Formats: sequence, structure tokens, C-alpha cells
Amino acid sequence: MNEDLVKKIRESMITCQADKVLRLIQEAIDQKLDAAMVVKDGLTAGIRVLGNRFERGEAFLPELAVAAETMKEGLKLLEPLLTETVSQEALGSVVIGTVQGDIHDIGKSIVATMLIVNGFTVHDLGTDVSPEQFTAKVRETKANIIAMSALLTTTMDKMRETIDLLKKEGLRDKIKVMIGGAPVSQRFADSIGADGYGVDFNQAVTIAKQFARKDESS
Amino acid sequence: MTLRPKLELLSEADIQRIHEESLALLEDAGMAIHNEEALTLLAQAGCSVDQGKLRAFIPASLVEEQLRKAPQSITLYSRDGEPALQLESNKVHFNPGSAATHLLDRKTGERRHPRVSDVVEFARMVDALSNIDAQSTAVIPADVPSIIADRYRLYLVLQNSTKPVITGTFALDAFDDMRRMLEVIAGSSKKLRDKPLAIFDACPSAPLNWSKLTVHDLLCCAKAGIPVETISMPQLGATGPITLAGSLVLHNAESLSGLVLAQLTSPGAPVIYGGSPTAVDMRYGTARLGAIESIMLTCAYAQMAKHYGLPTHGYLGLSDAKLPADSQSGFEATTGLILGALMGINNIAGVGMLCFESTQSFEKLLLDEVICGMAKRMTEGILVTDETLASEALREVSMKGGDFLRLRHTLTWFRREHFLPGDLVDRQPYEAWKQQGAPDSQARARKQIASILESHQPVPLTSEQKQGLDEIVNDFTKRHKLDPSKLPS
Repeated sequence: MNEDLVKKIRESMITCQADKVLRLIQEAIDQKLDAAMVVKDGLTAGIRVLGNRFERGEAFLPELAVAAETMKEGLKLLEPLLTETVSQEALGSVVIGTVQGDIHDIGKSIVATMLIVNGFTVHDLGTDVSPEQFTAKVRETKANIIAMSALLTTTMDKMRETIDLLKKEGLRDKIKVMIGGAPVSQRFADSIGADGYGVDFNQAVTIAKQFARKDESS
Repeated sequence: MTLRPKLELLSEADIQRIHEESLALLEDAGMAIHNEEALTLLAQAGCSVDQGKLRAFIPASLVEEQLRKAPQSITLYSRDGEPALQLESNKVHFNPGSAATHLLDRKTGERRHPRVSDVVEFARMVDALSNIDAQSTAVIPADVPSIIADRYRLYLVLQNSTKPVITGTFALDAFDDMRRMLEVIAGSSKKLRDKPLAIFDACPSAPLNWSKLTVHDLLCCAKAGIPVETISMPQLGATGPITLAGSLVLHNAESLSGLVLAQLTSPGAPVIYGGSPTAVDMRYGTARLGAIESIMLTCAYAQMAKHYGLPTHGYLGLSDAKLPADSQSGFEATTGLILGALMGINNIAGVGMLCFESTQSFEKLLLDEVICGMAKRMTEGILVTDETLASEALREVSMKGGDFLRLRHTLTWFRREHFLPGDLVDRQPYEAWKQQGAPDSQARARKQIASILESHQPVPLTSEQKQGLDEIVNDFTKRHKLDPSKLPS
């Protein structure tokens, strides 16, 4: 019975039926199912299948985007019932946003989606995010990766300011910094002391995974 | 109701004029027909026939009368009896250019004579490609004796695909062998008539000639209830007038004469109005299929056929280029396929073909399949409804922020509204493309061909069907005093 419900959650994730997933999660909570199992064998297992389909060219961005949104909504319902161990099972925790003065959302949102699909916990601050907001969120969530996006050459420098603030607050050593966006380059990343640069969302995921592995080995 | 985008090349007055000119031509100049049975049929129907010159003069009234008997819709079935091609109104289907004497080797790119193994691989590729709706006997195997190569192609294609087949003969005794093969698949001659799974091409020789072989096939098809395509092929400036209107009159006259012969043989016989007109290049003397005039003439005769309410065929998507991934190959194929689709030509043959209808290419087949997908999408037009106008989505995102990517609206509609090409079409960011070795479309196609041939397994014939086909091969091989055990497999 319980396995059935979790299986249904997984299947509904794969078919991107957001409303159904949330309804089933509420049912699982009412039935006092193990929340960790619902996350692992339901939500995460489902989104992983979609991720694999995406790799094979069978699923596409709109499906991943809706699944990632559903994942976030689902976790909101389940979070109060989860113990610390569950979030540790994620590959890592990422604070992401478009820098201050820049309201370009879509590229950053796609990266956030791909990170969720690939097993990261993602805190998306949206657009026009100040260095202070980034830093506060890192402190609050104990994230191990911060990902910043900019589309305008005029706002790129906010990335440097954010890194400087992280240093000043004593957080820089505890976190990996990755950046992306049309005007950004590896050279720029090096010049501001970022740890990684992704030219597209695939590279962003690759880099985040590398960070996660290094984290494990250290 | 969504508007279907469409193409028109002739006004109502033009159509009327060309119709009248074609009928007058058949009456005045007549058709040379190298077949006694056909001439007798025409004489009995009131044509004046010059037996010495094998020429029949067909009165306009007879053409008008027979036009009313021809079916407006023809359905072709898959090998397992499912409806596959609906040749009617503006429905569009694609199949490969047929009877290539040469092939570009899919590994080395060398132009060479095809082998049996190529016929098999080509049929399996076509079977796997979703935007190619039918097979053709696309390449002629040079490693079987040429006297039986026509029917041996069909034997190979039938074993490697469930899609219907467009085919044809090279010898007078071929039709019966091929008909028998089709009957084995369908179950009986009655079942083949009810659910035909092949079309035979019958090509008059311009100007106004039906050869012994082609008219024989035309009559045989009409008797067996197997669909036949008349493929008139005037060469503008050589075997037809240089002007488009003049060659259109010739094309129309030849096509109508074929229709009359089929209807006199068997009223209601399924005939498809087709063709393969070419523009003669006045510098090199070559017959160009990729020329814009060839494409225009094909679309124009299709408009005539639609005026008569007949199912249509056109030879489009071919290129006169020599290399499959050359840009000429792309632009000639695209022009033909898109315009043919806009014209609503029911059976568009030609994908894969290069070099004046002589050379098939695996790479071009695959690249052309993308154009077929684009063309099909184009014909679906733009759906305008409450939902597609996206009024809710527009307000939600504009006022609340966020993006359209994560909306249910996007999820619901993106597959329905958009043609999603595979990795043959380069859509990667620059860096990712470069990291993969900067592949061009030829390299991408070759990679995909290998993976399709590795993974795609066509549905096999039943053992009874296979045995039935083998017996027929045995029959015709022995009839030609050949050793069936020496045929390559």
C-alpha cells in the first residue's frame, strides 16, 4: 500500500503531473509514511528518470522545469518532517541568483532546474540579488556552492563584490563559487577568484558535480 | 479551423486553358501506344486509331467521361494491414527517390554500384525514420543479374520494413512476379486489392508515347487493383517545350491519357497523377531536378490534378549536387520538399537522391528527413484558439514575474506546437559543439546512421510469408536460367 503510494509519486513525477504529485504527498503525510523515503524513492527517483531521458534527447526543458518546480513544492510540504540526514544525501546545496542590477532570469533558472534534476538542493534567490542577500542566504542554508549569473557587462562586477563580501564575512573558504552568463569568461572567472565557470548549463552541472566530489574526498 | 498554408501557381483561368489545350492535344496529336490491348480498348471507346503508327487520337469527351470514374482517394496499407498512406486532399507523405544506379558508400563516401547489403541497410534506415512514410525500391543491386534486379529489390525491401513500397519494373515479365510477392504478403489477390501495399510507377516517354513496358504495367495494375502512378517526365527544352505552360500542357495530356487507359481497363482503377519534369541545363545538357522550374512545374501539375480531384505524386527533395552535405544539396531539397508540402502533394518521392536521380545517399536521406519533419509542421499551420493565445499565461508571467519555461502551458503545448529535431540538427552552444570535434552535418549524419543500423530491427516476416517469397524468387531465377543459390543475401 505504502510502496504503491510512493510508486505513484514517482510515476507522476515522470509524467510531470504536478498537482497529482502534491496531492499524493499530502496523502503520504496523512498516512504518516516515512518522509525520507517519499523524497528518495518518490520525488528524487522520478526526477532522475526524467534527467536520464533528457540526456537521451527524449525529455526536454519544459518537462524538467515543471518537475523541478514540483520537487521544490513537494519538499516544502515534507521538509518539517525531514531529519538532517536527508539533506545531506543531496549532492550539495546551492545558492543561486542573478546579480544586483540585472533582471535576466531565464538562463539562471535553467541552470537551477538542471542542478535540481541532477540531485542538488537549490535555493534560488531570483534576480537583482545583492552581495548582502547572497551572503546572508549562504550563512542561513550552510550551502556549499554559490552560483551567480549576469547578462550585462555592467553588472558583472557585482560578482567580484559578492566574493569580496564572502571573504570579509569569513565564508569564502567554506564555499565554492561558480559563475556564468553571456559576457562572462574563464578569464574573468580567474580574475575575480571564482572557482568555476560554465559556458552552458551542461558545464554548470559538471562543475557543480566536481565540487561535490572534492567535498566528499576532503 | 486552422488555415492550411498553401501554394498556387495557376489561376482558375489558367487551369481551364491548360485543360482545354491538353484535351485538344490528345485529340489532334494523339498518343503513341506500343500495346495492342490498349489500342483496342481505345478504339472500342471511340478513339480513332492509326494501327500502323500505333497512335490513338483521344476525343475530349472520352477524357471527361473517364475522369469521373477515377477515385479521389487511395489508401496504402502497411505490411501488417494497417492504413499507412492516405493519398487524398492535401495530405502529405514522403518516400525516398527510387531506382538509383549508384550509391554513396556510407563509410567512405565513394560513389559506387549498390549491393544487396546496401538495399537491405537502406530499407532498414527508411523503416526507422518516422517522417518518411513509405519505402521505395530505392537502389538497384548490381551484384544480382540485372534481368531480375527489379523484383529482387522488392523481395529485399519487403523483408526489411513494414512500410508500403513504391516500386516499378524493368522487364515485361517482372510485374507478375512482383504482384505475386505482394499477394503473398497481403494473403490473396482479393486482399491485395482491398488493402494494397505497393504502388507501381509507370512513366510515359515524352512527347506523348507509352512504351510497351510501361503501358503493360499500367494495364496490369488496373486489372489487379494495385495503385499506379503515372510519371510524365518532359524535359523542358528537350523532350518538352521550353516554356513552363507548354510543358505543363504536355504533362497534363500524358497524365490524362494514362488515366483514360486505366479506367477503360477497369473502371475505378486507382491512379495517382504524378510526374518528374526536369529543366534541361542549357550549358551542360543535364536534366535538372533541383532547378526551380522543375519544382514549379511539379507544383503546377499537382494543381491541375487537384482541380480534377485526383491523388497526387511529385518527385521533389532531390538535388543535382554530388555531395550529400553540400549546401546545394540542402537548398534544392528544402525548396522542393517545402513547396511540395505547401502544394499538398500526397506522395512526395525523392529524399536521399543526388546527381540527377542517379545516386542515393544515406546521409542525404537522414538530412532530408529533417526537412520532411519541418515541411509537415509547416502544413499544420498556426492554431489560433483560446488556449494557444495564452492569455492567462501572458498575464501570469508578466505580472507575477518568472518565466514561461516552467508553466503548465508550456509543458502542455511545446510538443504539439514545435517540431523537435534530433541531434542531426546543430543546436548546441558553440563551446559544446567545439568540444565534440566541431562536427558538420555529414559527420553528424554518419554517426547517426551507424547507431540507427545498430539499434533498429525491422519486424520480420512470418515464416509462411518468407517461404512464399522464396518460392517466387526461386521461380523467376530458374526461369531466367540462373542459380538461386548463387544470389547474394
